[in-house]
Amino acid sequence: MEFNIFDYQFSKEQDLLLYYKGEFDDSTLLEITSFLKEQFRDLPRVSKKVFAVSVELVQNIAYYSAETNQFGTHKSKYGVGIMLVADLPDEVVLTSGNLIPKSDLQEIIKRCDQINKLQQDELRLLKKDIRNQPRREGHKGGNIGLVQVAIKSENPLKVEHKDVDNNMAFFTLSTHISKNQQGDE
Amino acid sequence: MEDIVIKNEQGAFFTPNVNFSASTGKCVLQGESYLEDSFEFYANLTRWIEQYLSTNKNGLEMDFKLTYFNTSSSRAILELLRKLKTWQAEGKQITVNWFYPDPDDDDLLMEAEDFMDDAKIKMNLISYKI
Repeated sequence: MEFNIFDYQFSKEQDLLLYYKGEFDDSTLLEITSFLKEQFRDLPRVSKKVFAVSVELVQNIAYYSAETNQFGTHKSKYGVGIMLVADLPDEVVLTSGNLIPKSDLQEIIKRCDQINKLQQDELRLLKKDIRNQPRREGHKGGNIGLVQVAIKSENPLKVEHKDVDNNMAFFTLSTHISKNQQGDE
Repeated sequence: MEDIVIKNEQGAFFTPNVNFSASTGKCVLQGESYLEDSFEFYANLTRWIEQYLSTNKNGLEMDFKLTYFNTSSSRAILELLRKLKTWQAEGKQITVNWFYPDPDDDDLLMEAEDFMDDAKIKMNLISYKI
């Protein structure tokens, strides 16, 4: 089943488990990911997957969103964006959204397309390959986030974007996790 | 030399329980690893081990009992394992044990296999019931 964030803005979706818009600072990050893990505690494998995917999506916004809050002269180091999680009958759909420079769009879309072409064992090799490369200086993340999202969700990454102005686009990244995981029955 | 004892914290991040004993050389890392600065956290542990190995003839036993780690922790853990491998090659007595839960809902055995492959280090893989 598809979940479209743009449609959601104009509809009343009943299956929505979480909708957050704002700054993704440390405590928000923990609140969101812990809440999601707890929601699926009766399905341990789903719960672990939802947690792992949400950590990576939320950290993406925190580290890479082009939008940050500014109070007076103080500019926050944490990104602003949205996180949305729908609990559908057979799957959990996780979507993150944030502003990015339009100049970065093609690169990120290309990376997602590459990831979507790979099987699970190939993704595992790609993750190892990225992990073996020297990490970028001053880079807090592991650069492996997108691959990890694909590995844990076992489903493709879905990317959508809309231009906001000449320089910025609103970018959403979405994936789903099946609620019928082996071992959870 | 002092022990390192860090209690699991769930303030803003998940810090694993750390129990590194300078008297026994037994080092346990347990729980969830999801840190603001993974590299600094693991670099501190690595420095402690290096110091321990330089002053102790007794071996070191490292237990990983992690139930979750994010991708940046994963990179930092790999760097630690590579160091352990280097010191093993220099003749230090280092045993590495990797504990994984049964059922293994988070594919922690698979993670261990990938770490062994990447760091070229041998780990004893030990399952435990949950």
